[in-house]
Amino acid sequence: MAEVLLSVRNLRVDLPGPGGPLPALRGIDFEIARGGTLGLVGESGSGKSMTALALMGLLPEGAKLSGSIRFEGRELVGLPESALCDLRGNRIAMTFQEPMTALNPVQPIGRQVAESMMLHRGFSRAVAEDEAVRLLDRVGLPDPRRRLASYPYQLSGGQRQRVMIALALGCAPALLIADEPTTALDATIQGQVLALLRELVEERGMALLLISHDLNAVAAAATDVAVMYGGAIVERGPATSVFRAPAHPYAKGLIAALPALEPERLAGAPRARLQAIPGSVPDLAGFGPGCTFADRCAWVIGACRAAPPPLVPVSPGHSAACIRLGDLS
Amino acid sequence: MTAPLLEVENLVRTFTLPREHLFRPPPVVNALRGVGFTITPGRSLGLVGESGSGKSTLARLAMALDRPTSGTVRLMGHDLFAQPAAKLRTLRRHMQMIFQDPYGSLDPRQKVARIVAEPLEALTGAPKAEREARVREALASVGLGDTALDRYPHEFSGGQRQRIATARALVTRPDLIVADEPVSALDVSVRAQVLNLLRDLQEKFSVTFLMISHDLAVVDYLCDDIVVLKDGLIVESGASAEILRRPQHPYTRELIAAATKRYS
Ligand SMILES: Nc1ncnc2c1ncn2[C@@H]1O[C@H](COP(=O)(O)OP(=O)(O)OP(=O)(O)O)[C@@H](O)[C@H]1O
Ligand SMILES: Nc1ncnc2c1ncn2[C@@H]1O[C@H](COP(=O)(O)OP(=O)(O)OP(=O)(O)O)[C@@H](O)[C@H]1O
Ligand code: SF4
Ligand SMILES: [Mg+2]
Ligand SMILES: [Mg+2]
Repeated sequence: MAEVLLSVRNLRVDLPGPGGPLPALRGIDFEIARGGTLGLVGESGSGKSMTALALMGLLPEGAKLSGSIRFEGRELVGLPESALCDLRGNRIAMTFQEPMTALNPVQPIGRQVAESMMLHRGFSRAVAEDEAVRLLDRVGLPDPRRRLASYPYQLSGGQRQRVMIALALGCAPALLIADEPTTALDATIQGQVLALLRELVEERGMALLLISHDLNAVAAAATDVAVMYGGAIVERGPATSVFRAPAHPYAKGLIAALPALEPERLAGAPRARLQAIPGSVPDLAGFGPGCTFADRCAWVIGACRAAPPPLVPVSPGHSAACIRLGDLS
Repeated sequence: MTAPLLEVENLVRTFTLPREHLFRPPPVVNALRGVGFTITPGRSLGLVGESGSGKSTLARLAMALDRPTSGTVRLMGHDLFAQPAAKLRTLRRHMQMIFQDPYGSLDPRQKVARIVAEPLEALTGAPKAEREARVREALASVGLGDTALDRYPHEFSGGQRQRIATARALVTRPDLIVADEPVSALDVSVRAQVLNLLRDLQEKFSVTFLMISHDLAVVDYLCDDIVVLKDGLIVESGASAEILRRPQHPYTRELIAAATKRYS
């Protein structure tokens, strides 16, 4: 059993709202071992980025955090900002969903990547510059040496995303939180970036929290998966087991909605209408005390709305938070 | 023969990069090296291609947000780069754009109600109540409720921001929507919902799309024609069904393989 690097217990985040606090995270639990990869998937707005920001100590103003985040044996909840600041970049790094939030718009990209390595790894400028070129090349930026002097606005969306990944990897973190690292990338480059992340996980024993709505990407890189809905983890377990046999009604719907070019279409058949899960996620104020999926669930009964359903085991290491699992299968 | 909606002819866009050395000429990037195609009303066109192939550059030129090194773009017969500013403003009303980076394209100081209503304000005539109803309707159609109206963009998740950008583009029901990766940040279920919505817009309001995506399944769902871009050049183009059935270029085959595989 690999050593646990990060352990999150009953993590809650409440955001200030006009009518009182809004629960953005409703007590979530997970752990990641050194060299492990946890994929976090779920509906848009379900709290994936909020989880990442909570781990980084970068929550929006007025947010209330409770529960426990233990990282390398140390409790991070309640740690003063200066201590968190030391951890960020050195031991924990994050790539953001929108690259422009992480990149400095008025500094050439080469300098940004190199300076981060000088700061966090003590490289000299010359070494850091060579390292920067090597890293930018590994994330697939074409002709990186010529691009060192480019500013972020002079890059394409996908190129910016890769520069940001290089920036985060340059610090050699023990834990990398990658929030939608491949959204803007086409299949070829996506594969290349995921392969690089996998390599670093294997070579350096880096732990990876891979946040993505792209189930293919998660299936390709993660050993374990957690599925979020409405600020709660509704299902988690080994990736193979969750993808092959999703148990929670939301996870089942998610996996069925994947658009793909069916063989019939390739043979010339007209396109079928896409299957969406009916309804949409209520905003944070709209959830009741019970199961967050209750308003959209085809199996909902009165008891579902009474209390949050606990995660119950469905197979070894695989559990789902639904009180009707027995009736579904 | 219907008159073309958008005609792109021999478009070239070269960027000059910052110098690496004082005594060497600055490097250049040939983002587009002579690209042309025509979109007729009701026949949406999908633009696919790898990261850095020139898709967003082309989108910005089609919207006249940038000027080409050479070549022309005509909207409903009017050369966009030969119009006086006032005429260009009127022409722009026929089109809207959904940007690849929703964070940078939504004004952080405006509330969502204002952001989505903005394109409507440029259109004369509609009374306030009707405009408000249109804004609500546009937000609801992308799965966002009335409580979104009073909030600022930073209070939303990435995918929610992308949907706000979409609501803004479709609120006027323009003739042409240039959509740059409009569903890339959405999970499959919300993505299905937005794609179905875009398809309804095509059918009900005859909106035509120039749709950019790195996912061929997404493009195929909405577009009759597909153009495959690589290194600033078109390497393959034609009717979607035809391209899917008989892809010629290896890169197109790769895209098809990626869109066909399902995890197991
Ligand atoms: N600063 C904020 N103030 C108020 N609400 C917020 C704020 N930031 C996020 N939210 C809300 O918190 C919820 C969770 O957002 P989060 O960004 O974690 O979603 P996500 O799972 O990352 O979604 P996506 O896949 O769309 O990026 C959403 O309902 C969002 O609207
Ligand atoms: N303002 C600029 N200055 C210099 N180079 C630029 C500029 N804008 C774009 N480029 C370059 O032009 C090429 C095409 O960029 P573009 O943004 O059109 O790509 P894209 O196909 O949209 O890629 P992605 O899928 O990653 O968004 C890239 O190599 C990019 O670095
Ligand atoms: S607990 Fe009830 S509402 Fe929630 S997923 Fe299970 S059946 Fe559906
Ligand atoms: Mg997010
Ligand atoms: Mg682009």
